[in-house]
Amino acid sequence: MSFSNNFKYLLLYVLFIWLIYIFLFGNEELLDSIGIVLKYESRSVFVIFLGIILEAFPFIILGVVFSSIIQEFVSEDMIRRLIPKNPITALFTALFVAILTPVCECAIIPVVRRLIQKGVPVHAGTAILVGAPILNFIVFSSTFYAFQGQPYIYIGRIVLCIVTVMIVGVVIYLKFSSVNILRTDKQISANLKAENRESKLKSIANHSINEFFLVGKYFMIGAFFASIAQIFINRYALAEATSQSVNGVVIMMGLAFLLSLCSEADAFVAASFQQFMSSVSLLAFLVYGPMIDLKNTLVMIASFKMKFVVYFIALVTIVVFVLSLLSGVYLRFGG
Amino acid sequence: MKSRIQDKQINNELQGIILICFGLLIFKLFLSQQISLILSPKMIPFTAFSMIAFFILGAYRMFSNDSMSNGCGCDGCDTKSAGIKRYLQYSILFILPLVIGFNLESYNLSLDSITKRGVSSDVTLRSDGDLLSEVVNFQEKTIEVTDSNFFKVMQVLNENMQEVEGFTINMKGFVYRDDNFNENEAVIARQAMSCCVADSSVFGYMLKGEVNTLETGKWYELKGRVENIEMGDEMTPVIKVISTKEMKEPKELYIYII
Repeated sequence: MSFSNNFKYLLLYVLFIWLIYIFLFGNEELLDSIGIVLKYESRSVFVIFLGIILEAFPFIILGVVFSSIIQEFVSEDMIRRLIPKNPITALFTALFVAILTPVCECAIIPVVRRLIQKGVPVHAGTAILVGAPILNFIVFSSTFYAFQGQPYIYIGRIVLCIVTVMIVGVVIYLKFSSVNILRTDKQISANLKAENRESKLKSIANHSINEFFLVGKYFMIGAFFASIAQIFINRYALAEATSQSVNGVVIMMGLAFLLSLCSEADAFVAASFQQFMSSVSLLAFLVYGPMIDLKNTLVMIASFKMKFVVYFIALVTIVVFVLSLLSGVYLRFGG
Repeated sequence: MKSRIQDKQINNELQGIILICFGLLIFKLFLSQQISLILSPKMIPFTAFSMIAFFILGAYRMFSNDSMSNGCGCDGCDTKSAGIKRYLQYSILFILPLVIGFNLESYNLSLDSITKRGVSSDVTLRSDGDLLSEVVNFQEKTIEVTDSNFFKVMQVLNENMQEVEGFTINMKGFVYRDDNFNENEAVIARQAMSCCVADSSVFGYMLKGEVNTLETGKWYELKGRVENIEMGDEMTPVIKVISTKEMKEPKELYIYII
């Protein structure tokens, strides 16, 4: 047994030294020589992949550290006292929390998961999940900047998001309020915490790293698929092929899902679609993308039970789709 | 029992190595300045933060050897897949990107994939003040396009065309053509990103005149005259080519939106 472990240690250090070596002297010939050839498209896929992960890492790290801090310092009693008993009041509290937390869709998931574990009602947690990526000043200002003079888009994005939060919150309350939606049960954490004697700081570091790898595994897969979609989908051909608003909404929601852009940056991408797409479908793109996309779906699968993830995605998709079409009707007749 | 603890210890060290190497990868991209092809300057402080966090967390995980930490007190840990399966997962998901990242020397998107992103010419970003006098030299009737005023010029050409029609414009860019273009059509274009390369798009103007000698993907310094023509059912600014000069691809490949 110990022989095989020694062997593993040896491999590990060889790996580390080799990684340091290629950090210092790496070049593309070396890459070719180990059989990885990146030309044209595959190189672009990797560049986009690197872009997505480097952009998200700081926020994922903040998310897992914050989640670990909640784990250490926030007790179930505190949550019980802070969250209003009335489910509707709780929903508004969640909406307020969503506005206060300016984080993107991947980083919020570990935090929400931890909050639910600590006793925050599921529907309030879900409301934070849906609302936090859009409802903040940074996203508003970038949308405003990209769609100057088009209040339908930058106000509409906020309004549609709030309405979606409310509808999704209520439906989730009716459906999941007494169900455990987390992937592992609460019991484990409660038991282990009692025997956990390490210092708080160490404990936070350990939790953070564990959670980073748990979330990171799925995030990497999601980012990889998103970067493939980014390179191989001819978005303008897609956009030009549709003129009807219903089709447009479907296509733009699909694109939002696949491209997996961060909520802060998607407004500019949407703006570059302006000449092909209707405002309604741009709005659907801007509201749907931050709530659900390829990379955060995978991170959700890492954190919540499959049944909940599927239900949640279906629900948000339907709600955003219907709301976008209704806003189109409003635009044509009322506004 | 002992071997299980050791096994966790090995797993910990592997995680530590991965974290440190992500820090090193970011560090290498900073040193080689390739980071500017991946992230916009406004993201750099965040990325520097993640680099430092990776170093600290990685070193902590590598060198802390209290076995309790591996016991993973919370349920946010990765104990489901054990042994060889996990090493395989880690190798593909974390180590492979690190290996490619350490070795790759050029982070440009291929021309094909840029083309699939399409080109746009009427993005109007909010900017205050008197744009016209800011970007247009009325005395000499010229417009000088730089990285920093690129979108302001685009706004002027879309909104105040009547005041600048016929003016001379000088700009740099690469020649863009997609599948629907015929030989006499081309666009002088730039790539722009707001946060990272994943949200980058192509922006540019349609060219008129002698364009069939211009090679797709090559960079040119272009001198032209601004004109307004009807395309489809709306007026679009185009540039009538006066002269072009081939140039080397610049270091600042991207224009950064705010």
